[in-house]
Amino acid sequence: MNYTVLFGTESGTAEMVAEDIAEALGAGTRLCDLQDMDPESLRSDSLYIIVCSTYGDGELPASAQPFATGLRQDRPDLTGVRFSLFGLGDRGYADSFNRGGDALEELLTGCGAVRVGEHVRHNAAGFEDASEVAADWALGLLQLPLAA
Amino acid sequence: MISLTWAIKQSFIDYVRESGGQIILDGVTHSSSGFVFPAGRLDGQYSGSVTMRAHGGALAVTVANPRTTETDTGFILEATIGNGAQCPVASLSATSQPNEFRAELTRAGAQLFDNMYPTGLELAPVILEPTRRRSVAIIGSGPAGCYTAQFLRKLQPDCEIVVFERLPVPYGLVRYGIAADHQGTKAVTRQFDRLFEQGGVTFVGNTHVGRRLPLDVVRKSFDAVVLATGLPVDRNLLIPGVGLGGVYGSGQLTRHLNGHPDDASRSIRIGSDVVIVGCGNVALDVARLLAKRPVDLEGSDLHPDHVRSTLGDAPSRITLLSRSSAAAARCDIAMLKELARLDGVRVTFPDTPDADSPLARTAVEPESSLPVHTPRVQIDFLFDTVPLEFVGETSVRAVRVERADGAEQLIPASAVVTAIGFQGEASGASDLGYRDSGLFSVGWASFGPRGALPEARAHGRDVATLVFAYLADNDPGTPRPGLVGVADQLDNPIDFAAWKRVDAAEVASAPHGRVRLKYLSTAELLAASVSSDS
Repeated sequence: MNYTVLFGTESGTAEMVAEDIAEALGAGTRLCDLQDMDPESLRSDSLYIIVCSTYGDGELPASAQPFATGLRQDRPDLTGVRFSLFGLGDRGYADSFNRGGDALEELLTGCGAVRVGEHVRHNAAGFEDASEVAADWALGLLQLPLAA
Repeated sequence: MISLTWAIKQSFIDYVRESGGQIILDGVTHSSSGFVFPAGRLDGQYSGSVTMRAHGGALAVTVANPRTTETDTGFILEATIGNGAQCPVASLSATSQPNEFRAELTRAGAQLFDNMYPTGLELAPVILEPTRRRSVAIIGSGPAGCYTAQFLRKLQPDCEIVVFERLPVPYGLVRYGIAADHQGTKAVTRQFDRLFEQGGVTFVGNTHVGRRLPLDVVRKSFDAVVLATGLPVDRNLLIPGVGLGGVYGSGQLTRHLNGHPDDASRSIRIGSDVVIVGCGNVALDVARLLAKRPVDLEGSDLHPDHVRSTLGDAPSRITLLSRSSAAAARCDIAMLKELARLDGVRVTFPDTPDADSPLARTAVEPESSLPVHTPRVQIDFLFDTVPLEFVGETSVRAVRVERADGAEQLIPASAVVTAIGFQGEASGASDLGYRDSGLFSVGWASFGPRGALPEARAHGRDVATLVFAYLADNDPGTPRPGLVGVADQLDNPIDFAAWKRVDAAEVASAPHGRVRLKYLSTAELLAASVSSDS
């Protein structure tokens, strides 16, 4: 099993958290901005760990937009593709809290991909450090029975 | 750290250029002596690649990750070439210059150039010398400055990056501009903390470049200087009565509420009827803070004294004036929703013809504005409305406006907050742009008071890329000294460890319902920055 950490960011926090996850998972983990990832190239022999924020009134962050558009328009067959989601949000904006991550999950599962592990929805206005929560969560993913 | 400098074969490069081809550098910079490959992971290894392409790719030569190795017959230069193979490109022999080696094409290396050149041909000399550390000064530690440092560090990890800040404490508008009740947004400082703690980027606080430390001195000591000084001055509304008491700029008010040393001791009284001129996100920030009850401010870092003195006599009516139509309003919908769902607040859009604009729709959506029969605070948005005069003797008591239909109206006002933008200080340093060699500007100092963290980050990335290219194209020969060149002109500079002491002390003294208690003056900040055990 190999791991690819993807991030969609607007203020850089999701990128930082993605770097922390990649470091926690160790050598061989790939790190990639969602804007540089073609949805058609997602494969079944990797687990895609996605860190994604929410922007404005519940929109996806800029760097996740092209990826989402690709999923929405081209609807690639992602049967066999597995992903995990770590959403970043702010409860101060209750209406749109973590909508970005939710939107990505809906698009990916709509194309046949399957989410594994808990979909974490982190709250920036809370007291938990996103990097610490994310690293612990990612190490938990390693324990899941994921045969390549 | 040793870097490898090699011009490869000048006549070949000239040929590629003259035939309209491209020289593509990846992780390699260019100096007057050739391409500079920085040190790689192991001794004798260097990183980066140079690709020379011409004739639509029919001619393509790549030299990547060169390394020097010793063989039975002497030293050779190996490199990864276009097809990915590791190839002994040149044999090296000493010259009269201690760091310079004569390079001759090997038989295998001749293949690199499609056998255009014979084995044994003399190539450009290979120079192995200590990496000249480049230095960049960033003036201002707000988001634009910090993001620029972050991207520049990624592009050129061996660069000395120094961030100067006039206050003893870092982060500019993150600490003193982003509203006190938006602590989640302020969490961006976790990225910036890491930037200063991981090495390569140095914080020098309590150092006012342009006053205590002349900009010219900084420019002579650093290879490049980036102005990230923001726009510290409120743009004034030039109408009669602007000098009356009770008329405040949004920057003054925001700095006061956020405990900025320049405005913390100011006395600001709001009263029952506030008029806010402007309808952007800054105006909405002000309206929200004024409309909140003390209990709504829990979890913020608002100073309890300021809550009592400025927000204590809570307004019952807030009127926002916008010259533009509702459809053209520039505030974010998320900000408006947040305002509309505050407890006891009713938001209305009297006489707004654009009933189907997103703004008006948000306000009438039942889910965002809960039905409030007797509102604690009534908030009116008046669009297509031009303020004509602040009316009063010594203090403002009303604002005379012209409505869309041309009718004049007098709106009672116990205080006015103008939120119509910001400008630079009179020195005009902000409009230098990129015209001056080695001097750059980023963020609001460069493009004006538009946008929030994402725009600052995007521009920081762009400017870091420009600075990186500038450094690559402008090798001074003799390196500039960087921070040590100005060290004797610093007066009580504050380093990042000192800021962390201030930070810890503020968090430790947070009263109930607050995440920190800010020190309100430069003297207090400096006192708190001194280690308690020294």
